[in-house]
This record gives sequence, C-alpha cells and structure tokens, in this order.
Amino acid sequence: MLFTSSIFIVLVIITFVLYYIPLFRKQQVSLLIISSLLFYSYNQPILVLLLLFSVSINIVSSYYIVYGNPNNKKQYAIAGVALNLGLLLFFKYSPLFAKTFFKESNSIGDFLLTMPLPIGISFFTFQGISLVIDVYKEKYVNSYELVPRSFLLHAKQILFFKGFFPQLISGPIVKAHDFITQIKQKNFYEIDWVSVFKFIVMGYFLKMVVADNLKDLTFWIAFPYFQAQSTIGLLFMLFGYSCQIFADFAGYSLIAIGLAKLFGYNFKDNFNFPYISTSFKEFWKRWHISLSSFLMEYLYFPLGGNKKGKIRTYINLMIVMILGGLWHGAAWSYAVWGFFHGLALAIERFLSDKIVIRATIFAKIAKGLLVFAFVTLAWLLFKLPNFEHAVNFIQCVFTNFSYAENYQLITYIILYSSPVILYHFAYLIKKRFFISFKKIEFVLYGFLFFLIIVNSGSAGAFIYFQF
Amino acid sequence: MIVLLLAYAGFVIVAPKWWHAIQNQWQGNLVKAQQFIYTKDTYSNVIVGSSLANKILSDSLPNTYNLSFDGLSIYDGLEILTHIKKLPKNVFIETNVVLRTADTNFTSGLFSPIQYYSKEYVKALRDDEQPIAIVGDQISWRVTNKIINRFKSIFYSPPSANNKPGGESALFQKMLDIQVKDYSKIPDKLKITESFTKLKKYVSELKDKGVNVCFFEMPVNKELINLPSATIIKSKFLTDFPQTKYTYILVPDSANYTTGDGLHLNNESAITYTRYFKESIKNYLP
Repeated sequence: MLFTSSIFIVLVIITFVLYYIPLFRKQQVSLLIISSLLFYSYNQPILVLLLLFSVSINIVSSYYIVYGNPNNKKQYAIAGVALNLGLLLFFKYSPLFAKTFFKESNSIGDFLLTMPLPIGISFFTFQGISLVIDVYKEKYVNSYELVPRSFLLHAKQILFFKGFFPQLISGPIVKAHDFITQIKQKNFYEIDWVSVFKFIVMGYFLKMVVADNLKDLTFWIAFPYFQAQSTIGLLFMLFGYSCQIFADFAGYSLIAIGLAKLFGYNFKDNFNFPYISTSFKEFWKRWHISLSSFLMEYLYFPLGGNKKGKIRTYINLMIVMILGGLWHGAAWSYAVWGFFHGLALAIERFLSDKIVIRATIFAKIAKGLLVFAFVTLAWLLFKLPNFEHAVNFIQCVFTNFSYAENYQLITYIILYSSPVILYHFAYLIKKRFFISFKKIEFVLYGFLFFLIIVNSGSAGAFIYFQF
Repeated sequence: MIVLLLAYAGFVIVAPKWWHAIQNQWQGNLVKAQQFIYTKDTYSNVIVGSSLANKILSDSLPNTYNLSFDGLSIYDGLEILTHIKKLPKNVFIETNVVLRTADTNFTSGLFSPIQYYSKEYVKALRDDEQPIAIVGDQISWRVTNKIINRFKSIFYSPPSANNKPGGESALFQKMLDIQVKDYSKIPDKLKITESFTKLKKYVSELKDKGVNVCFFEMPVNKELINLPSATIIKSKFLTDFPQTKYTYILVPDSANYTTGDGLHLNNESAITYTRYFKESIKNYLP
C-alpha cells in the first residue's frame, strides 16, 4: 500500500478516529497493530506470515536474554541476531547467490531465484537486531524497561515496534530503546498539529510533486535509451536523479515522522540537508541517518571503529560501506556503490591527516560541489545496476556532444529539482544569517499543498521500497 | 491554499488556452487519454496502438482520435474503450506491438472514482493544466534553448552530420542493432497465447457492441520485417483473425519509409503514412 494511494488515506483516517475515541483508549496499541498488518498485507497477504515469524524470533530471543538462564544470555543474543540475519540473507540475497554460484540451470539455483523479496525486510530485520542488542548490552536503558515480565505484553509491544506502519516498509530504522520506551496511552490534545502538518505537507510535496515528476523525466537514464541523449541531457538527468532520490526518500521519511506524530510517537530525523555536506563523513551523518547510525553503532564500533590503528580503521570503513551497499540491494553493483563510498571515506580520512585546507567560503563551496558530484555519480549504480550499462552511460557523456538537445526535458528537470536545491539553500541561509521564515511559513506550506493537489506526478513506488 | 486553488481553477476556465504543456511521456499519455475520456465530441474512428501508431497524425484524419500511447500497449487504449459510453464506429488496432502487456497503473489511475470525477468536474486538476508544466513550456523555448545553444557555441562546433535524422548515423545504427536483436528472439509461446486471448476478448466485446474492427501494421525498417518476432506475430494474426472475417489495412512497402531508430517513423514518413492511412480508410471500410 502506497502512502500516496487513496486507500492508505482512508486507512489512516479510520485508524486515527478509532485511536482517540475514549472507548478504544486502552486498545490503542492493538488498533495500530491491526492497521499495520492490514497495511503490510494489502499487496501480498502471504508475506505477513514472514513478518510475524521475524517478530517471533525477536520476541523469544529478547525475552530469554532478560528472563532466561543468565549464563546463556550471550548465546540467546547471538542466536537472535543470527536468525534475523539468516532470514534477511535467505529472502533478500537468494537470487544473488543463485546468479553468482549457479550459472547453469540447476534446481537449487532455480528455487533460489523464485524467492520473493518481502517488502521492508531490510528495515524490520535491522530493527529486530537493534532490539536484541539493546536488550543484551543495556547501553541505553535497563533491559526490564524494554522487556516487561508479562510475555504477552512483551509480544504485543515487539509486534507493535516492528510493525508500526509509518516505518514498517521503508524506515526510518527505529531503534528499540528509542521506541519501546514511548509506548503508553496517548491523548488527542497532545498532538502537535503544527509539526504534523509541516512534516506531512513537506513529505508529500517532496514525494508527489518533486520525486514523482522527476521519475518520468529521469526514466531515460534506463538502458538503451540514454544512448540517444546528448551530453548535456545526460548530465542534467543524472543531476535530476540525485534530486529525485533525495526527494523520494526524504519525502517518505517526513511523511512517516508526521504520521507517527499523529499517533503520539516521535521518530528521529532521517535526513538533515545532506547535499550541503562538505565532506563524505558529513554526508553520511546527514543522509539516511537511521541507517548510518545503525551501521556505526552495531557494526563499525564492534569491528573496532578507529581504535585499532589507521589501517584497521580504513578496512573497517570499507567493510561497513560495502555491507551497507549490499543492504540497499541484492546486486553486486550495490556492493560496488558501497565500495566507492568506503574508498571516498578512507581517502578523505587519509588526506585530512596530511593536508589542512583553510576553511574559506570558496574552499567550502568547492568541497561541497565535489562531494555532491561524487554522490550523484555514484547514484548512477542505483539506476543502472548493470555495471556495463553504467560504464556505457559515462562513455556517452563523453561522446554525445553533438546530439540534439531536448530543451523541454532539461527545463523540467531544472524546475522540479529546484525545490530540493532551495530546501537546502534556505537551511544554509537560516543557519548562516539567523533569518527566520516563520512569518511566511504558512503561506509557503499552503502553496506546497496547492501544488500537491494540482501538480503531482504519476504515482510511483518509493525507490527505497526495493531495499 | 483554498483561495489559491479557487483562483487557479477560475484561471484555467477563463484564460484562453495558449499552452501545450506536456512535460514527459507518461503525462503526455495521460493528457491524451483524459482529452478523449472527457470530450463532448463523438469520434467515428479511434486508433489504438503503441508509440509506432502514435506517429499517425490524427489531425489530418476526419473525425478520428489517435488513442496510441508512447511506451504503452494496444491493451491500454482498448481498456479505455471499455470504460466509455459513446463508442466509435470503427476501431483500428495496430498489430506491431501486441506482446507488451497493459500498464494497469495507467488505466486504474484514469478511472479510479476519486480521480475520475474530480478531474471531470474540476478542470484545473487535469494533467494538461499543471502550473509547473505550463511555466516550463514557456521557459524551455524562450530561455533554455538560447542558454544551451550559447553554451554549446562556446565549447564545441554545431551539430555535425553525425546526427542526421533518419540517416545512417551511428546512433541510428546503434538503435537499429538493438531492435534487430530484439526482433530476432523467438517470442515466448505462452506470452503469445495470453496476448491473443486477451486481444480476442477485447475484439469480440467491441464487435458485440456493433463496432467495426480493423487491423493495421506500421511500416518499420526493412531489416526487421522478416525476423522471427515479426513473422510469428503476423502469422498468428492471420490464424486468429483471418482476413476472410476481419479487415486489414495492408502494410505499405517499407522502402518508402524512413525511421529514426528502426521502429518509429520520422516526421516526413509519418505524414506519408498518414496520407496512406487516410486513403485506406476510404477504400477498406464499409
């Protein structure tokens, strides 16, 4: 079910009305669980069984870590993490294994190729892992706060934590210690309507007006169509795709945050104006924050982070980024994408130890443009997962100088990308000159709402759904 | 927001329509479909097809609407016909691209109750009235082309003969090679059966409602004509829709037509084919 579909709007309205009716106040969590299961099962009802299985792994493992034999605590945690990862590997990466290791037609290979990719599995698996580790390590809260004594209550809370519909299929990846501690009865008068409105309007604007329109303009990046485009057209399409992927995913995250707020839950920001970054390190602190913080906390630090010498730090960065790349999709091109980002981070770290650049405004702009250009070029592997096609695209950039220009395509890419640029630019102005847009904010949001109604693109699935 | 919406709705109704705001292929298809669905006119002839038949200039054909869509299939046009009340007398179905399946998002979006009725009564919500599309249409011809041409004139020489339309350019050869590869594949039998079963259903529904169905084939590059994909589909048509029972507009000699990529007629040939199509309608139809 898409956030942009009318059936979803109906589901949210019905859930919202029932949620705050005094009659159902004690059943608020149950109500959200039912809505979430309806939401998840809408397109492929059978896959709800997989979600329930994944949830049950986490219910049992986390409960035994707290209330099982204390001597076996570590084993329960390892089993919980391993089972979560096993499920992800089996369902998400089976086709990749089949393509890589079973070249000839083979019954095992054929079987693995038929595995369906359950929507959102990468997101809810990571949430499950965060639960098991948070309960085991007790780094943030006491494990008793996350796992109540009553097994039934615990099961209900975990089903809610993993299944809560705003974040179920495309994140943000909510960590157990951030979410479970918020579970309590919610009141209508506590809703922060202004924030809800702002998050939802900005989210839908970025998704429906910017990303959905750019989607039909950057369609021509697909093979073999890009071969017929001019150099300038190709560069603009790549730029447009970079803006599209931001608008699509940041838009989804903003809608998710707004919807969660509507039901009294707070998610952390998932994007913090990533395209103003002047370093790769900064980019990953601003882009898909819930994933990068997850990888840092649950992978980079356990590997030793930067505490085990320079060489080991570079290796750790590469491992984290390659695995992070593969998390995005079951194709080697995603690993290559992660490798490029890992390499950029490692080189940046190496150079920052050797060279000191004065932080002038020009240096900042140059560094910002370099980071944006690199990130944008790397997105090409998302659009063209076949590496050969991606290389061919780059070749065309250098050879198609004389091809006729499609002025309309370029104009519309500029027009639909400009909100993404202005969004970042307004943030920079606010930050640098302490200017507040509060007085005109509601006029602006009204205008965005107007554009959602009259200028939305054709409905398309969120890019991150495939992950 | 409401004030803005009302003002814009008024503007769309009152202002003379000087714009032609098509910003991308999908939106172009939607505009075309919406203009057909919401029109008060009745058309005698409707053409359904893919991007190949979309080259036919229906403005030059009397009382004809071209319901062919770029990137979509004949089934999208046929599906639209199942939803409208005033059916045409004749439906012309392109035979080149029949294995491409319908895009359910396209027609379901057009006929979902909220979308259908809101766009029927509030013109400002239709796809050809999008404000950004209108602004972009104006800018692209007044500003973008001038800036890019100035930029190009500084950095490199004007377009060379390498990009001659319909000619022997490297790009044309590249695209033709892709089509040859595609047409050389033997189509999947199951796919053929499914497609023709679906087509028969649509055709029989139209015939039951008294609509005359006529098939036609768009000319393509001569290198493609005898490749397996083309010949198999052609013989399947003649088996399932025999010429004794159905009317066919014969495909003209490909040698007289030029394409930009092996499949799609260039502008000059599109005019030639439209003339041929116009004559054929007169000759073939009762």
